[in-house]
Parts: sequence; C-alpha cells; structure tokens
Amino acid sequence: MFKKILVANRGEIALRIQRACRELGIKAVMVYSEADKEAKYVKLADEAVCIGPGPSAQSYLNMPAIISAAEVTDAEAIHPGYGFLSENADFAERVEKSGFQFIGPTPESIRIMGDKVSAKQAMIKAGVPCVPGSDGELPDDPTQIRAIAKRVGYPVIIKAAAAAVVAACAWCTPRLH
Amino acid sequence: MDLRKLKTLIDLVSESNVSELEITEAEGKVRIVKSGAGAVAAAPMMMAASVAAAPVAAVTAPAAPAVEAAAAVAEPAGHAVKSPMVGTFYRAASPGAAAFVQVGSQVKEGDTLCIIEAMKILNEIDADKSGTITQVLCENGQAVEYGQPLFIIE
Repeated sequence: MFKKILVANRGEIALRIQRACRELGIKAVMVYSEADKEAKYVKLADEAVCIGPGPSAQSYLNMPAIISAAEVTDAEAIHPGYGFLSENADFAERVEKSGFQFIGPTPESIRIMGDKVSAKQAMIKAGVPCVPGSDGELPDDPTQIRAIAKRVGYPVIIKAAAAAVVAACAWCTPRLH
Repeated sequence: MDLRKLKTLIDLVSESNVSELEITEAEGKVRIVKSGAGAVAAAPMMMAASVAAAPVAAVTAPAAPAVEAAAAVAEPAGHAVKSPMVGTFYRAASPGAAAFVQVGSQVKEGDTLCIIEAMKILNEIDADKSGTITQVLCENGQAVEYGQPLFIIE
C-alpha cells in the first residue's frame, strides 16, 4: 500500500480521492491552479502544491508541473482521477518513466482501448463477445456504408473512433431507397 | 498539523455554514468551533485528549485579525520575483558554487537569480526587474510551487 500519493485532478473528483485515501490511511497531495486556491479540496489537503495559472493547459494538463510536484512532495504514485490526463497514454508513460506508479491502466491498455477500432479488435482477439458492426473504420463510399448497415441490421449507431462521450454517437435509421 | 493548514481550516469554517469541525489525524486532533457572528476559535488537542471533555480555548475574536496579520507579513513591499514552475530551488549553479545573488546584490533585468530543478532539468530563473535584492525568501534545496515568491527586488 502507498504511504503518499498525488492527485492530478480538481474539484469533487480530487475531494473524493482524498476522502478514499484518508480512509485507507494514505496521505494525498493535491495539485491546484491559481484559480482554485480557495477550493475546498485544496484547503482540506494534507499537502497542496500550486502547479500553474488558471487555464488547465498550464496547470491540470501540464505534465512536467504535475510530475515535478510529485517529486518535491515525495509522492509514490499519481492518481489522475477522470477526465484531464486520465486517458492520456503519454502521461501514464511519463509518470512511470519518472519513477512513480500510475494509478490506472498501463499506457498500452490506454492506447488500445482509447481508440474504438483497436479496442474492438483487441476484444474480438480476446474472445469477448461484441455486437455486430463494421470490422474497423467505415469506408468513404456511402454505398459500402449502406451495405454494412444492411448486413448489421437497422437501427445502427455511428461513433467516432476516439471520443469518450456518448454525445459523439449518431443514431441512424434506414432511408427508404 | 502545521499553521498553514490550521489557517486554511479556520478560513474554511468561517466561510461555510458549518459551526463546528473536528479533524483527527495521526499527529493529533483539532476542533474548530464557530462562536457568535463569524468569530472562530481553534482548539488544538493532543492525541490523548478526550473529544467530548476537551475545552474550547477562548480565542474568539482575535483569531481572524491575527491570521490577517500573518498574511500581510508574507507579502512585503517591493517587487516579488515569483516561481514560474514547481520544483526544487537552488541558489547556486552547482553544489559548493557561490550563490547567484545575495541580499544587497544589484541585479539587472535578465540576470540569473536562482535555479529551479523540475524533472531533472535545471531551469535558470531570471530577474524580471532591475534593482537591489532586499530579501531571499526561499532556502537552498527547498521545494517551491508555482507563483511562490522567491526574491524581493526594490
């Protein structure tokens, strides 16, 4: 079990992880942007490190700042929470290369499962039952797409390869021709 | 529990609708009770102290002004050179070398003041204003965070 971890997230996500750590007897270091200085999760923290200004690109998405904060506070692992860098395989890799443990999947798993096409291929290979669909990316030719949809059976859903949100799905019903 | 954390906890209680907050940690216990109109009293207790029987220290009204005074000290006059990153603060280019600047040193804009090590990279921090160094606010080897004042130039 870790003695001290760093939480690379903000708000209620950080607060939740902090609470879980406290129950487990683990010290949790919070990182925060200048805009979150007065936030509850910072004030309740065992330790807190300001990592950058308000915009998240310079703070919560700033990998060197977060890893550096783990270095100066002697944290053993980094918990990314969800959102921000949690599904970033490069971040997971840099965390591990810097000598910390990444609390989450391995960089390889993030890479495979982040892309829906490679995720599905990996699942089929592992023998996980998948719903019928295209074998990979859709072709550009609409006739071919219609043929795939017909084979799968309407209604079908079209989904982006990389988006994590359900909002990126489109529900399609057949056109009559 | 250090003073900085105690102060933030007191602020937290003052701003909230919570009238009493008790926190137990490995190092001990602290109980903060809000009494009257916004005044806050903090009663640090040792591990052995029983929770229910612990008396609340009679530091009511003076608590808030004392905290403000402490904050005022942290921001002295002059221009503060702030840390642009999280890392470890070093006053010299290498161990044993002379410090870049001392209190009383004359600096020009662009002069190196210190080094901050982040992810094994040594970053030179330059003066963003010309003048005289009147204060060095960090110790050699100390961890610094983003925005933390490092030097005062006047």
